[in-house]
Amino acid sequence: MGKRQKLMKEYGIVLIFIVLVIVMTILSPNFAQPKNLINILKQTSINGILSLGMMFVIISGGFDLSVGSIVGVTGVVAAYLGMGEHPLIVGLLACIGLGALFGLTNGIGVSVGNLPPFIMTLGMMTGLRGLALVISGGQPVTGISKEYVNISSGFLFGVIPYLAVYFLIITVICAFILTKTVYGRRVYSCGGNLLAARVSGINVKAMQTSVYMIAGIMAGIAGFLLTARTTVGAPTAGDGYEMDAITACVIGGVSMNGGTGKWFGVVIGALIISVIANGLDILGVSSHYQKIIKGIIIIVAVLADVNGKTKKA
Amino acid sequence: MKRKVISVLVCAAMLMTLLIGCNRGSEKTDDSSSTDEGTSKGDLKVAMCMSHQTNDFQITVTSAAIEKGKELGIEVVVFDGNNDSATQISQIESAVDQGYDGIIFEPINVDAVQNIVTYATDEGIPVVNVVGAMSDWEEYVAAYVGGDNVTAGEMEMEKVAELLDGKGNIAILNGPMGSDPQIQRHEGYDNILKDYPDITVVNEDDAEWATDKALNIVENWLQSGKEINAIICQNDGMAVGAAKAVQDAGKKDIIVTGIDATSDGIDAIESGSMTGTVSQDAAGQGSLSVETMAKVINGEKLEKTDLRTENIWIDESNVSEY
Repeated sequence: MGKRQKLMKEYGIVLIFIVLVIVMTILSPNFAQPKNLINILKQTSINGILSLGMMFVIISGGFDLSVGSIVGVTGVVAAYLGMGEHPLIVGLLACIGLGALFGLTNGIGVSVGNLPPFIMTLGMMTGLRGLALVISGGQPVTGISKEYVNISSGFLFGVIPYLAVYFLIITVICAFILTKTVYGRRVYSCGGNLLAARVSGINVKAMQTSVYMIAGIMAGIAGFLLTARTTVGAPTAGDGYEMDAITACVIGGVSMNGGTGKWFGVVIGALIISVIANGLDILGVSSHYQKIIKGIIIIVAVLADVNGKTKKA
Repeated sequence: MKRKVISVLVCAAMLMTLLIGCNRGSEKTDDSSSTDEGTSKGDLKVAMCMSHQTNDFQITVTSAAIEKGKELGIEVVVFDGNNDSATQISQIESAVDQGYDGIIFEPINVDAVQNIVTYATDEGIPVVNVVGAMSDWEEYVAAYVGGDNVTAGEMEMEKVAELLDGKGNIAILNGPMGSDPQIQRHEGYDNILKDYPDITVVNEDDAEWATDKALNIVENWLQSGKEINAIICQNDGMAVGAAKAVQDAGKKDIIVTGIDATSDGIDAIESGSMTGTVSQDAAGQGSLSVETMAKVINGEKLEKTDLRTENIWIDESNVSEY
């Protein structure tokens, strides 16, 4: 009985995902068309990458509201660098570098400055959005090269969208770091019990700083990709993306208290968000209703998580 | 310790604001002594309170206004209302209290600003509306300079109807539902659709003026199995996203249109992914509003108080002019 419950809790999310896909297919046969499934992969990629970064932060016991704004700033920078005058790698490195820098700022604020993560990242979220507007002069940056656009529209072997490939690569890297390295274990320890982690010799300040840098780097990559996908570097891009990243983590079973959560839960969480949006769009349901549904799912997911915890105790 | 740090940070922020403020003051006097055209001490100062400053259209309006101001010897100071009515009211109030010679503004909420405008005019400060008009503007402000969102919507839908030969399936992408441009542009659409019973609206949603939201929504619509012949977007930002989705799906004969003629839309028309847009002459609105304000400040009688800029349809045939 206990073992079954444990399995349900760990892999229940996969079951929910499968049920959701079946329901959507029944409601609209066009949902299961290969072209549509590929679209879902494309649409999940950017939020997926953001969510994986957020995952590190939340598991370590923190919280990051600024990733959406980082996407905006890096997206604008990437657009300026992506007009064909520089090799594309320059834009990518700039985004990763900026993301790491902003993440570092977050991390230092939390670990050294002892600011509550919510407050620190809230300040960064607001400030960076302003920075994006200043750099771009308030307007979307247009004129990126076809080569850059192709990064997000192209297909590997003609079938698998590049965006999904990047998402897969990043998922593999993140999963490996989280589950197979000492660093990963330490992330969980910090989230589980910060004091115990410090006492057992873990450099907690370094840990905290590093997870925010990871989230920042992921956001930088997401910003780079989003500009390619939308063909413009909009200063308002990424607005609200931090919410979807957090939602994916929550649905995926990452506890807001830190210390628990599996990478595949986060991936499935991101997929669920896209599947719902995609399915409802195909059915012609207004995005306003979709927001209500998303909200309900978040609350239900957290309820399940909280209940799971009290049952364990 | 924490409280000390916070109080130090707050003091630093306040100090910075003071320094920036003083700096702007000294910059102004430098300008007035170095340039000889127009600007001089005792320059007229006009506040321009816009709804937001985060897109091409808005920036074009204010840039043109500032330029026109320089020509006429008026310093135009732009305020960003952040799409929040309360913020805008505070900004207008400050403008009055700081002694601006005139206030040009774009109402965020057409029914919320009556009192503050009365406050301004009671203090002898002329007020002009730009881009959008407050309710009963004739009784409150000296003039309204703007585009006409209803006729812009009509022009867009009429062009699409022509291109479709009067029949087909269309999809509509709205701005934030309930916002004035959204309501008025949709009114324009409805006015035209009345006369085309063979055109059916098969999909409609709210993409909040955003390129990425429009991209995702259209991407999904194109998988729904319904045939779509044209996608009508209430602004170019969304049209660019819709056009990208159409290109990615390989359905290049779907007509995609927008409104605003912002640089992203113009680029898309040039590259062929977007069919056309309606220019509401953003620059014209900006400069005409300052011209009009100058006349009012000088006590000139205006021949017309309702000044609309022309809507121009831009497609591949004339896009090179923009």
